[in-house]
Amino acid sequence: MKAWNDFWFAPEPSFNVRVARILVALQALWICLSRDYASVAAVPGVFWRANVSRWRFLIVPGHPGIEQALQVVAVVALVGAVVGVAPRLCCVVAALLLYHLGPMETAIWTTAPEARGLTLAPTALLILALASGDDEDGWVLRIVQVLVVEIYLFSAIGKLERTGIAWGSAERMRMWMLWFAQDDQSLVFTRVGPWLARHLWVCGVLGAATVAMEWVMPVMLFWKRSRLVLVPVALAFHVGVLVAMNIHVPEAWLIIVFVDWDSVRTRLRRRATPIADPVPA
Amino acid sequence: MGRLDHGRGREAVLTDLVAAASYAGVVAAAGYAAWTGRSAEIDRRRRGRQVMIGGVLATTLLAGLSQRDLWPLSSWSLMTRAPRRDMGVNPVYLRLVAVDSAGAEYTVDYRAVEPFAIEELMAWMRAQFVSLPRAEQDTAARYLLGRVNAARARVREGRSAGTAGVLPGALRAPFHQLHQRRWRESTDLPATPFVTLRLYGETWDLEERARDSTRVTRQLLYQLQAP
Repeated sequence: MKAWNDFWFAPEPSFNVRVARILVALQALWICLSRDYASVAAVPGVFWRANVSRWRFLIVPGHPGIEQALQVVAVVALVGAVVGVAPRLCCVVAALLLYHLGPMETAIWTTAPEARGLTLAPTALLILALASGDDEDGWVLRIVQVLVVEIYLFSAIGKLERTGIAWGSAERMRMWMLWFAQDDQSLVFTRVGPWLARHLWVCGVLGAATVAMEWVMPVMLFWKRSRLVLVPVALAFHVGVLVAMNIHVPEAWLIIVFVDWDSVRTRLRRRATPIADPVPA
Repeated sequence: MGRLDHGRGREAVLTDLVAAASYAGVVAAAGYAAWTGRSAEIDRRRRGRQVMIGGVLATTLLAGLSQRDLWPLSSWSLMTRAPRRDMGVNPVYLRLVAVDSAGAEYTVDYRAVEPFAIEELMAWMRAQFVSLPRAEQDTAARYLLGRVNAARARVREGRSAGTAGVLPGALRAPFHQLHQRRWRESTDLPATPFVTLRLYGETWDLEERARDSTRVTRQLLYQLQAP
C-alpha cells in the first residue's frame, strides 16, 4: 500500500498538470475544429441503419442543428480549458460532449473510433477536471500518463493475442509496407514505404523495435530518466509510421505529457535572465 | 448460421452495456472524487482519489486485457493482425469513381464525400452497402453523387473540394489514414456534372504488384446512372 501511495501521490509541480490539461484540450480542439459533426447527423437514414450501438452515445441522427450547437459548446469549453477560464467546469463539459461527438466520425459503421483523435479526451479531461491547482495533483497527471502508455501496452497485447510473437517478423513488416505502399488511394508519402519493403533486414529491425518499444513504454511511469529516451523514440516512431504507412494516430502526440515542463520552464527562465558574474573582491 | 448471428448480436449488446456502464462508472468516480476533494481531511480526499484511480485502471485494463473496445475506454487494437498477401479479398478493397458525360472516370477525392471520412465510408460500404436492397443502394449513391458534384463545382470555382471544419486546409487534422488531394485545379475536373457513380472492388497480389504496378484486377460492384 505504501508503494501504491508513494507512486500515485508523489508531489508534482502543478505547472506540469496545467500543461497536461492544455495539451489534451488543444489536441481535442484541433480535431473538433477540423470536423463537421452536424453534417454527419444530416446524412440520409440509410447510412444509419447498421449501427445499433449509437444509443450509448445519445446519437440520434436527423438533428444537425442540435449537433452544431453541441459542437460549438464543446469548442468553447475546450478553449476555456486551454486558456484556464473556469478550467474544471470547462473540462467536465468538454469531456461529456466529446463522449457524444467523438463517435460521429465513424458512427455509420462503428462506435469504437479509436485513433480518430478523440479517444483519450473524454476520460482524460474528466480526470484533469479534478486537479485542485496545488502540489497534491500528481495523481491526476499520473492517470493521464497511464492512459497514454496504454495505447502502446494494449496494442502490444493485441498483437500477441491475435498474431503471436512473430508479429514483428521481417517478412510480416515487409507485407505491411507493401500493403500501404500499394494502397494508392491513401498515398501521400510515397518513397519511404517502398524503400523499406526493398530492404528486408531494415523491416526486421523495425518490427523488433516496434514490439520492444510497445512493451517497454510503461517503464516511463516508474523510471523518469527513461523518458529522456522513450519520448523522442515514440515521437520518431509516429513520424515514421506517418511517412512510411500514411497512418496518423492523433492521440499519440500526447506522449509529450511525459515531458517535465516545469524543468523546461525553469531552464528557459535561467537562460532569459543570466546570473551576473560575481564582482571580484 | 442463425444461431451464430444471434450469438454475435448478444455479445455486441453485452459489450455495449459493459462499455456504457464502464464510462458511467468513471464519471461517477470523478463525481465522488470531486465531492471528497473539498474536504479538509487528507484521508477523505485520498479516499475519493483512490476510487477514481481504481475506477480508471479497472475499466481501461478490462478493455485492454480483453481486447474488447469499450470506447472511450479503448482496447487500442492497432494493426494487431497479420497482413494478407492477397489484397482486396478479405476485406474487399473498394474504389469510388465518378464518371462524366463523356465516359471519363475520376477517382473520387477524399474531401468530396465529406462530412464522411472516406475510409469510414468505405468501411460502411464493405459492411453494409454491398448487401443493401437495390433501392436503398440507389438512395445512398444519389446522396454521394450529389456531394461529389458539389465538390466538383467548388473546385471548378477555384475553391477547396472539402468543406468540413473551420481550419484552413493545411492546418486541418488529417483523418486516421492520409489521402491524396486529387482534385486541386479546375482543370482536374470536367466542366459538366458527373452523371454516374461506380463502385469497384479491386484485388491483387502484394508481391506481383510490387514487381508490376499494373497487376490489379478490377470488378464493377455497383453503378448509379443519374437520370
